[in-house]
Amino acid sequence: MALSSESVRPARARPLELFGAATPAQHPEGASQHARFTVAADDPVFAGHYPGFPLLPGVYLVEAALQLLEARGLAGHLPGRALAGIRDLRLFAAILPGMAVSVTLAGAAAGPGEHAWRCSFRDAAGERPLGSLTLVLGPQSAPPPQPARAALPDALHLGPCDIINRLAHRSPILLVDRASIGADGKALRARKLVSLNEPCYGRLGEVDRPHQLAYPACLQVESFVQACALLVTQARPLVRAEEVMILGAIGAVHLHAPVYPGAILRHEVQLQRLIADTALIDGVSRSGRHVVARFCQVLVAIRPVAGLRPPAR
Amino acid sequence: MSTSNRIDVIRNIIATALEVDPALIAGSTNFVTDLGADSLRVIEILARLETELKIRIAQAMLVRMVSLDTVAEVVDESWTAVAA
Repeated sequence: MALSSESVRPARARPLELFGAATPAQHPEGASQHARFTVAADDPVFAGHYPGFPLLPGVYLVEAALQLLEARGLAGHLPGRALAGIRDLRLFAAILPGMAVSVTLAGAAAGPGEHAWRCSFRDAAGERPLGSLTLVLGPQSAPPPQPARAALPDALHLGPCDIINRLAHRSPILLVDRASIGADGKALRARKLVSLNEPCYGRLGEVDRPHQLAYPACLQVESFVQACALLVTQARPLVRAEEVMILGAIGAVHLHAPVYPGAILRHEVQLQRLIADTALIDGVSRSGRHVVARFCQVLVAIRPVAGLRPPAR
Repeated sequence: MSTSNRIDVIRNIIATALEVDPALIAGSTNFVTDLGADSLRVIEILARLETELKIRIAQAMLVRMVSLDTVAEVVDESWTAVAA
């Protein structure tokens, strides 16, 4: 169902609302969970993703899966701290405004102290796959030792004008403020300020626990992916209004610490392979001196906008 | 790693990337025409093979990676190149 913004005050910051008030798990713990949702055709995100050809950001499937687990009481007890990672994220088809989506969650293999759910998204008829991912629930742990942050000699600095001109994203989902690209075109540093003014904080009521203000993981990932897009478009500019950068897959995202308003996310993007219009990327996100997320095998690709529309019935 | 084990590892990597039952991947099953894979999924297969098998696959080999049999050939050639 599509919800009105007045019906529920969320327990944590969320970019959109997809499910109603918490209902008990309808199946024994460990059994599959099923649900359907429809993204409201007038959701504000579509104004910025993208102007003229609205598509649901693929990372929002992370949020959808997490919200379903929360609604069923299966996501742990600390809002904003439940998600330790994402594995094997794949996006197969565009989700358009007003599209009905069916989601199935099934228990998956997990490490000690963790729970994992494999989430599969299909169209309303359950026939066409839209995406899939594994959520890993549990405490966020410290990252392994990381190499010191290397400088980018002779970097090309991208300011706000450059970012506006290179990315099709606009408010409320343009999530990079500054970037620098290394001279060899293989490394990029990007910055994104997390602000209390962002829409994901707009529906919160009274806040009595700091973790309620943790920046949604799906937006952390989206910000990193947009940094990837800036790097790829340096070598392969988009044909404006005809092409778009899509997220195709992510091997793994490890979430090590929450990020709160006022923090500056600093992404370090490393291009591993560029094959035709598809790029394979790794990287980390830092806040202050701490690595807050690591990204492994991010696959982004340039696709014609016309090809993203669903096949005619 | 024995040949049969290596084939099974490769089959499982392919099955994971394409989200299909490994039993559906015969030696000559074509990823694109039989399983609906696009170029992005094939590149994901390449990336997973490189990470899990500790090899480097030359970009020129990508066009040959259309079935389990041809992927196994590419892996063998890539291993040989690493050992050389």
